[in-house]
Amino acid sequence: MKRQLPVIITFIFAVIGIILQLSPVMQDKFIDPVNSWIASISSFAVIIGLASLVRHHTTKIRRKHKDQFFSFVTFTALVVMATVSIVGYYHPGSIWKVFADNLYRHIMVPLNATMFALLAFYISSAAYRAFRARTWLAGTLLVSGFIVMLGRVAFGPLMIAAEITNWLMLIPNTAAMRGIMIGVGLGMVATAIKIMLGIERSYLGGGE
Amino acid sequence: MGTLIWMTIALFLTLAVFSFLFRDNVLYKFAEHLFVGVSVGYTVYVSYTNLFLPRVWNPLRRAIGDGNILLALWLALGVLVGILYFSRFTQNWNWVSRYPISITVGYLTGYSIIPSLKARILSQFYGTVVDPAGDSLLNAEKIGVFFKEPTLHNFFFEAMAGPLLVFGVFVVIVYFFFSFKNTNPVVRFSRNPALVYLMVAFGASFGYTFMGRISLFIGRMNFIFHEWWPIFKNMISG
Amino acid sequence: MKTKKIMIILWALLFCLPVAAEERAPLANFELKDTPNNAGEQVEFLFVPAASPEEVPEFLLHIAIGDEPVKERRLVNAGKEIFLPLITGEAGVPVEVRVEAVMDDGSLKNLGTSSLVSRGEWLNMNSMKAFILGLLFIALIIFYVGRAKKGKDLFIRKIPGLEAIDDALGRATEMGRPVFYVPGTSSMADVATLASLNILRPVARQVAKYETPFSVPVKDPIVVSVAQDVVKEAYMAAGRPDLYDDGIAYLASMGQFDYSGAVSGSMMREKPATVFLLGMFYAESLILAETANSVGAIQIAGTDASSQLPFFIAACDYTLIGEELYAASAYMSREPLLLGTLKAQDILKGLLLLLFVTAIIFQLFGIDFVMDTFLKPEW
Repeated sequence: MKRQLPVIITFIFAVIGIILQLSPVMQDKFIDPVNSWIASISSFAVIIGLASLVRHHTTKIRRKHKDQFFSFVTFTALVVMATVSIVGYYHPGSIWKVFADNLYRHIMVPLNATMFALLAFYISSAAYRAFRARTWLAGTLLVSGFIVMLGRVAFGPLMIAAEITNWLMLIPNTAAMRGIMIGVGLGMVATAIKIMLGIERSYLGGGE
Repeated sequence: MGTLIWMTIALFLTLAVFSFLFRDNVLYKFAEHLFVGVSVGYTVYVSYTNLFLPRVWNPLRRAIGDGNILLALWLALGVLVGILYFSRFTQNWNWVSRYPISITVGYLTGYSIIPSLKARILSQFYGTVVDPAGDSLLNAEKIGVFFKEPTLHNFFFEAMAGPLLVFGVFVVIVYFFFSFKNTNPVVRFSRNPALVYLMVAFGASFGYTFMGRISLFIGRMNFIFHEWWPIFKNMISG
Repeated sequence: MKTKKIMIILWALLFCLPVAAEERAPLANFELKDTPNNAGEQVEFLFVPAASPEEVPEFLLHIAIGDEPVKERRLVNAGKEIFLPLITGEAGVPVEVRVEAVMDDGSLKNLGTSSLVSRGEWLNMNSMKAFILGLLFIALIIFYVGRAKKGKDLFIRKIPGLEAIDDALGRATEMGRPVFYVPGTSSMADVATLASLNILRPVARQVAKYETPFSVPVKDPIVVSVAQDVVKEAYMAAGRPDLYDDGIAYLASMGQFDYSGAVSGSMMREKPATVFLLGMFYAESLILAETANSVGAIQIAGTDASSQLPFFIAACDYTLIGEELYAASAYMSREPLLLGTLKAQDILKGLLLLLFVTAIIFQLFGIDFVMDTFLKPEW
């Protein structure tokens, strides 16, 4: 019940997945019902995830962690955002909807964009460290990275860098990425088969 | 006035996140925790309106309304399976939650096998034998182009392009053999060329993304100086 | 494509026979065909004009699909064959196309009709090659797993990133600082996430043995429950259930950048000595890797996302490249079952490489047979 049945269920549903891929008629008829199960599981999983998050922050509050105030910030933001958005969904013309839109547009979007923009600094610091080449391999990385950086903004006599960039992206980059992709593909399928056959069962918590 | 208040909040949050680059501080902590709350709240809303309602609840109601008992039962069973997840809240029954997990994992892995084989393996090999136009990558004509007009461009872009691509794919694949000993001549021979291909590729990809990432920062500066500042200036100047 | 052309020619010839007897060539050849390998949601109309554009400048199609009102469509005669997909939506829908030629004087001339009922196929023949390859893979895996079970020793080469794990965990213990494990930022739909959870198990076991503080921030709600189970079992296996806490693996957030912001913040505050970044990553990879570096942590990264590998390579101490991530669970556990799968994977890879080289050699001599039969993916 605890171990065997989940493995059997995994196998059955894996076979269902394969059949849906193989048969256009079956896919047409059954993909929506099957996906509804996955959607249902995913929606209930969100509640489990939510519980984990809440637990993480209540522990902080209970232990009087020095950052406990910020856990209150998270809770408040969560409750307000979820409530306002859902109420706004049911009352499209209301003040709730306007408020939800503003929360999204002026809090979520700029936070997202700024967190993403941190990458401008991180990519520079990573480049700085990576480019202090210690071995000939790191040197290769450095040279090709430098040429491409130059090639992307090249003009005038530096256009040769743009030409080399083109070639680097077209030949060595394609070759390496393709080689990796084929290996990854095989690894993915092997893992999928291992899971399907019950050889790999870490996702069930591991152990025997 | 409303817009200015909202945009000033956005400005404050932008600066708060950037302050993390100096060190962790109260402003960042606030922005970070606010972000987590807002984002999780938004996910709850999206899961409810874009996942649960259209894919689970509405089809169930429709099936019951249409008298399609079989489908209704199936969908209701799906909801029950989802509810099994709540067994995680119990001490002795939490293993029941393995059922929904094994359904998800089983279905998703099974569904991925054939597309992976097609897109990640067969297509990639096929695309290394012939180019999209259907010409062989080891095309003698292209090598001929170089001999007719021996320039560096023709050497790298015409004559050697195909052979170097094929060679690169070959050695990189061989590099990722795990169960052959290093004494195997093919494995030993491929190792260094493969590493060169990989490092050149990683360097190139890194360099290629560099400017794109820098422009993200420029984007945020644009927000401050070209969106927020004009509105703010208008407001104070009357 | 070739067979299609031959079919058209044959069909055209057949069509021509009776008409030729009437001493006038047809103005156009056309046929309504069922689209193969679909569920019947689409059929295709193949149209080959035979008359010159001067004689018939345009053709007029009257398309009737199921109960929908008849649609008219004009085709300009450019002397080229035209392929027209018609959406039926489902199988069992009758489709009829009546063709009229618009003569140079503007008069209409009926050329006849073509009709069929849309049909769905039970088997997608285009997927058969991949399916057979999959079956071969399964057979190889079963064979080599069987061999491994019999105790045949299976060699596996060194993977530097994995060799470093023990030292990295030992370092955290010595420094008395925590270990962070990020199992990627994707869901269970990505096999990389599963691969990462497979590595989590031995790592967690070691951490429990060393009594090092451990933190597994997760982004996906399903992954969080699996991660909790994996960590719990690992602590029990290490004989330290007393150290286990459900809060070790927790949901840090649910979005891409809020998650990376939250994890970066935690790293900054808790100063881990070792950070694992294993699984599927997107643009946030570098935020996590650089923050880990800034607190002086050893980073062991690994992903199959080729777009993120360059960043890990540049920023991290050790990187598992693509496939190495999948090989890791076999490498670390040394379980014969998993080693057998790895061997099977190598054998299949070898076979495919051989096929690839053969296809190239044959191709050089203008023979497409090997390539078309074994490697060409039909969509």
